[in-house]
Amino acid sequence: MWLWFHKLSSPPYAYRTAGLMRPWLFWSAVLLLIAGTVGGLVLAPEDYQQKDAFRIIYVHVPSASLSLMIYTVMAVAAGVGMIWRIKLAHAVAAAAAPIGAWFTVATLVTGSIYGRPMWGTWWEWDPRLTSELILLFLYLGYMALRASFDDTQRADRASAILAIVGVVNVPIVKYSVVWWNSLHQGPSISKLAAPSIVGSMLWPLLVMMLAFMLYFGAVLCDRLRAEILRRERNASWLGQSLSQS
Amino acid sequence: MSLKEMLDMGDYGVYVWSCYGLTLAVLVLNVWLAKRSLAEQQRHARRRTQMNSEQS
Repeated sequence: MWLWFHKLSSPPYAYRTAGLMRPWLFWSAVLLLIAGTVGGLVLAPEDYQQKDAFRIIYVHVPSASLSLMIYTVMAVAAGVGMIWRIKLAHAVAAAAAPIGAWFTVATLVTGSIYGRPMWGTWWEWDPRLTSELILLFLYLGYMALRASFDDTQRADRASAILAIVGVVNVPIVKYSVVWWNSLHQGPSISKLAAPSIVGSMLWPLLVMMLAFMLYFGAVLCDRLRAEILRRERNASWLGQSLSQS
Repeated sequence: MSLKEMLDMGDYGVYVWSCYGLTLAVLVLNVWLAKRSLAEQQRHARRRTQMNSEQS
């Protein structure tokens, strides 16, 4: 296991592995996205309270969980990079950030559209909405901080601190609906013992969440490969790997 | 479910479909941005290795 991790932390190996994994992740994500969308839009029954508007959860919830998951991946990768001085870990964090930022935007926009018919407002300074907006600022801050350094190693160190400190916001977003009186509805599926959502509505959501995760993996592969190439400017392995890709 | 019912989504059609459309746009955009960034770096790296091999 450690040997595999050690091998994976070598840029040429990671570059090749990401290239091999990408099509598998991408096409399984596409298949699951199709299945989940059909399940969510056609097969799932109408909600007794929110009627057909509830179908927005099949894109809103996977986007939201991905926005939190990607930040956690980014912070863990930055932490690994700081502690064990693994450059590839910093590359993973840098590659994940823009994808996370986009999904945070998707969460906020779809949430706002969902809020309009359900709550009668596009936006409310509610704990869940505000903490998700802070998450977007953390992503943007992380990317801006990286961009402000010419030296990659200094960018890695400075941005890693921001990523690690900012991870405190992840549980705040997740539990904001439990800790505070929020306009946002409570969790439906994280209560593993008794999910408050019926099976026919639940499976498309789980399929969509898995699809979004696989999709993230596929996009991360491309972004990571680009980041590796940017860092390994003059490495001798580049010529051989580029002729294969 | 008829096509009209699908599009109407019980009068929530505009909200539901705009959310699905925007999410699809984000999904497609991210694939494209990542692919473009990789292609650009590959082009730079190829040029560099070519220049290095010409010099040596």
